Amino acid sequence: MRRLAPLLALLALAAPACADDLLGEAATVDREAEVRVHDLLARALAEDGPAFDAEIAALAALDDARREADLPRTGLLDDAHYLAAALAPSRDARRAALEAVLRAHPDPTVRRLAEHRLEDADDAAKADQLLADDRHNRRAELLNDAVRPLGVFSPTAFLAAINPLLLAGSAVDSIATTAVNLWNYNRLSTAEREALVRYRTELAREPDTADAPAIARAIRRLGEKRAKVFCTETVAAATQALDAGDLDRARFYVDSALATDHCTDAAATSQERLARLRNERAAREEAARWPVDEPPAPEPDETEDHYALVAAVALGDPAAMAEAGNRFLARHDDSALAPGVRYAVAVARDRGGPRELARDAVTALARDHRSDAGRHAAALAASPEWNRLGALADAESAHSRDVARYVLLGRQMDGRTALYSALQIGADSVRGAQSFGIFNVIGLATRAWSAWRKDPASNQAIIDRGEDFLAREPDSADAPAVHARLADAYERAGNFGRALMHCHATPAPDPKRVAKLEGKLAETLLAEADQRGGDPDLLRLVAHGFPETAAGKTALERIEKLPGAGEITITREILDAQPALAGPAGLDLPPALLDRRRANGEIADAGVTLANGALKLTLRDPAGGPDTTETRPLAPDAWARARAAAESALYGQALAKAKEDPEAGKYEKYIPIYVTGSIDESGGVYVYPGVKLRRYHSPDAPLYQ
Amino acid sequence: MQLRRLACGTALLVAGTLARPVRAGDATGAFAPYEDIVPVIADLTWHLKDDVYRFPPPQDPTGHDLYGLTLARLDAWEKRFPNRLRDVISFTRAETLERLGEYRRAADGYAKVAALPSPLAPRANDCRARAEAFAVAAALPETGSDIGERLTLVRRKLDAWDQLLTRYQATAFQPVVMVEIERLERIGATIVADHRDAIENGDATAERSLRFLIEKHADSKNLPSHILRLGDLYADLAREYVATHDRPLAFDPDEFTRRADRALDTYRKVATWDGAREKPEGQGHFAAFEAWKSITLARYR
Repeated sequence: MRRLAPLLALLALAAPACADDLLGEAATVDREAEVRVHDLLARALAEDGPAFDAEIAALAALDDARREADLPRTGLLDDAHYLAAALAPSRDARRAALEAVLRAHPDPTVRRLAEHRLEDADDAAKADQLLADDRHNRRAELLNDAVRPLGVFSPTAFLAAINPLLLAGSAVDSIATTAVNLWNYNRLSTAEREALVRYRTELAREPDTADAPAIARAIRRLGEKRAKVFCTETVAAATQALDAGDLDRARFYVDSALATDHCTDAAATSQERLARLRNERAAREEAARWPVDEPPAPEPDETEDHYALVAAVALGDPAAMAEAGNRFLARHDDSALAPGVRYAVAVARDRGGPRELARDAVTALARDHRSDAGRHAAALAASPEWNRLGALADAESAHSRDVARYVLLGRQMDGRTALYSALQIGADSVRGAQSFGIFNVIGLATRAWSAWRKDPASNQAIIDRGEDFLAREPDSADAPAVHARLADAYERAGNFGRALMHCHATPAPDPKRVAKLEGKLAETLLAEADQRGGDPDLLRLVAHGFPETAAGKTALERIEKLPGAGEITITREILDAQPALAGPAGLDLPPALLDRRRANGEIADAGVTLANGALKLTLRDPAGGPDTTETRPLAPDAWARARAAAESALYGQALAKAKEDPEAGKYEKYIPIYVTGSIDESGGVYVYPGVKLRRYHSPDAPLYQ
Repeated sequence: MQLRRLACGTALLVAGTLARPVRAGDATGAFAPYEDIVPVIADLTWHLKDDVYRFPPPQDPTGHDLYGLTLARLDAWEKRFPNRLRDVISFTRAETLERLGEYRRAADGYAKVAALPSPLAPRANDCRARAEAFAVAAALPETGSDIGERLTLVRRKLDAWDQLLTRYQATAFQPVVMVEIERLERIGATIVADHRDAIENGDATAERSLRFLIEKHADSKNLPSHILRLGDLYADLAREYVATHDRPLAFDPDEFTRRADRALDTYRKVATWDGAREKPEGQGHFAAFEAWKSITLARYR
């Protein structure tokens, strides 16, 4: 009876409002609604299961009664069922309750929350989904890569009817790609790594779930795969270090691999190679300490002059070294020790100057390949440290060669496997025989265009050599030219900040070049600001640092549109979607402003902004002119209420959009295939269908890579 | 005419297919204000028994910390509808504050509900006693003027939490107490590691402290972080070795490698730990220390 009283009071609303005191009646109904919700929530918080179930039953009865009375339902039953699911005693019971909530067509917020609990917050369910998507993607990639070379809709496919060899090349390519993909089919993916972690977490969290045996099996399977990959990665790191000659690093990885379970056999080869290379290094270092077994000794008549030179070298005095060395050479030019003495003289000139003479002396000595000193001089002359400018020129030549190779031959094979490379070349040659050269020409032009747009080769070697030169010889006469060459290299590499810096360091920087670099730098920074969700600090940097550039002007416009600190903007779209927001418990706007009649005032698309204790309304001009703004100060209570309502509304929006994929179209999920086209580097036009991949976009992806 | 009928029929069929499903939600009239608050309390209820010691704090679908978000949404709702559901809102807020480690405010919140004529009053009274005990333990000082005093204070505070652990063993609040114990033991280990020069046999004591932390809290969500701190200690010891043996003839590459590899091994555990929040930090530490090791060895070769 106690529960029936409020029910009857609420049902009274069904009758036409004929009471004298309508406001008083409305207040009674409000109180009854509060009591109903209060009892429901209090039972839940008190964890009083039977009483809570009774409250839900009463709420359902009230909904039924209201429906019979042609009244709208309370709309709280889905929320109550969602709350009930939270009180269920086990994971399985909670999942069943959530599925029941979803079957009852809840409102969007409850639906979103229930879906989140079922699909994202439940680690095992999320892991299942990750693995299902992963399986789908592996199959789809296999199929897509097999179909792509055939380009079934490409214009060349029609020519294949005339000449089947044209299709044969694509078939070979398709087979090669499929073979490579099959080879890599069982690789451990990022999604599998995440699934393994999620399964483990779920089992630790809910060991009594009915899914525990299946989860345990999945953990075992993925765990074994992960351990294998860990071993393989460790051995690969050891091999890489060995290839690079870094034996200390290699030793760490070999030891790590040996300490890993079931990895001893895999690490054996690296272990043996490491031991061999360490022995060789030890022998080499030992030999380096004693470069010759029997050093040449001076003849009796040379002893005095030689000793004077040795003493000067030991003292490190360039003048004494030069004098003693020249004296020795003047008296004993044909001595077996002469090359060594010439080297000592070169060193004296290098230290005491003039350095150009030292360079000449070393270059001359380097031609003597018979003596140790000559070979040492040759090695020195060839080293980048001795000839930094030459090293820079070499790096530039290598870069030019790389670019030319790209334009003429295309990007090199990625070297995934020898099989792929061999078959790819075979496929290309078959196709090339049929191309009449036209695709080659198109490909050449395409690659030249792309090389002009973006440097396909690395500039790092040029940058390293150039920076090294400037660090060691900043006052050299060649420094301005090196700055200019570095500016070019940095610009090609897309590092416009450094390019600009080196451009400014040249004696007379070209204003047009500076403006161009500033423009590119500003564009890069603007793009970075966009990537960081419109980072205001970066935007200000672009706007104030490069005001004359297009990007600077764009940044300034965006800054002007940025909300101030603590401001909240509610657009007209949100106001229309959530009418309660404009009510007395929210922004408390006059209804006339939202009735779509301009004559009595109307909120514009920009909506309402809450700032500094006031509402700033953007209103449409009744005469059709530009929108106007009107500021209405609010009392502290009204301000707090309006702000709280606005924050709730924005949270609701964020919740609704939390799972939306901004890159996915509205109906995309209903269409499992796509058709796309491309022009490859050799100018071939391909149009082919494919199975859509399910994108892996975990917010924690870096934790599984 | 038949064609027109067919067209109308098709249009109706299409409209029926594309129409949005009927929704049971969307509260109306007097019930509308409560549609915002029920999901807030429901979401919190989902996580009231979470093991906050072993698992990271829960997040809502937008990726925010659920406890913090609950607090903000309760405040917002209360501002819009003051004086409604006061006991429910206060009780829920107190439960949230307790999960956030704000025991004093939680105890005050429970006390307020206990004094109200509410069905939640008896439960609030029980909760108040617990939150009060937690608040007393949490209020004990843990900072002092010197290492000895600090360690003593931390020890005393740990004893207080240990007693609470005994009292709340095997309840939903055991993890809350474990979080506090872990925090204090970590502070203790950090004090020892930071001041190992001032402690007799400091290096070994610091290593023991950090290893104890790792072994005792092997189930904690913070385990990777504790391992990283041990790696930092090993890295510091390797750096100190180089600093004290920087002359070429005093430097022993094998001894240095042994020390450096101990740090690298420890960092690598975290750097290859899938799913650990500290994985990127571990990768960064590993890469930086490995580079330093290579450069140091090259310098003395």
